[in-house]
Amino acid sequence: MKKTKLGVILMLYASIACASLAIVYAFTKDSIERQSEIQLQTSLKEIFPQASTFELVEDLTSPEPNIKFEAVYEVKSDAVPLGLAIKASGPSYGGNATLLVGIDLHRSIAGVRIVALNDTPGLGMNASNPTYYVDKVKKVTFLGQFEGNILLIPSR
Amino acid sequence: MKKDVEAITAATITSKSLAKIIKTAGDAAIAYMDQKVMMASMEVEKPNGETSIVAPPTASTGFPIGSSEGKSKEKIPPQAGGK
Repeated sequence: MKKTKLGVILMLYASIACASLAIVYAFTKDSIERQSEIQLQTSLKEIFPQASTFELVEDLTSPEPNIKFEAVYEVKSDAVPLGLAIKASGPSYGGNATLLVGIDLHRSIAGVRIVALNDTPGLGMNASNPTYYVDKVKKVTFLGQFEGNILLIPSR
Repeated sequence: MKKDVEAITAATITSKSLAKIIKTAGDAAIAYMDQKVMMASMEVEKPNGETSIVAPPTASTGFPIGSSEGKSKEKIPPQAGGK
């Protein structure tokens, strides 16, 4: 009888906790999405500071099955194309990692920003740390090492 | 020792994964730009078969054909607290 009573109390606590979480999630969902959108727009402007518009491109998908393009933007400055920005996610050590990659018209990487990464604190997470340098002499960050690199033609 | 090996392995996996995402995005972007250039070149040709001069892709699309000539020297400003 006592065990049943404890079980019922536990069930009540769990139900209240679940309901509270669901309510908080429902209230904060819009705000979180809005913040993510602001963060994305800020990152896009950081990669392409001279851009005025970011037009969504629908017909570009990832050639790799385990890497997904969540959004692709054609970056323009007063109707003049500047390049493409791709929000891509793929598997990493601690789950999916999402990056924003900017490629300019000269086939080089204009910039890379981490949108989401849940890896090992202190090591894997250093990829997003702006004070962690892969080259301490030149002070190059993990993401900074990709910037300006020219991409080769995919088929080669 | 075991923890160190695990941590280094994790960091290596992260590094490789992020590099692969960047490369995939870059390759797809270049393929897309090339496709746009080709389509723009075909659109310029006249439908009645008359000979016409195909405008350089850079003029109509803004996307240059596979070369790094004229690469901008502009540098992207670093992140706050970055380089």
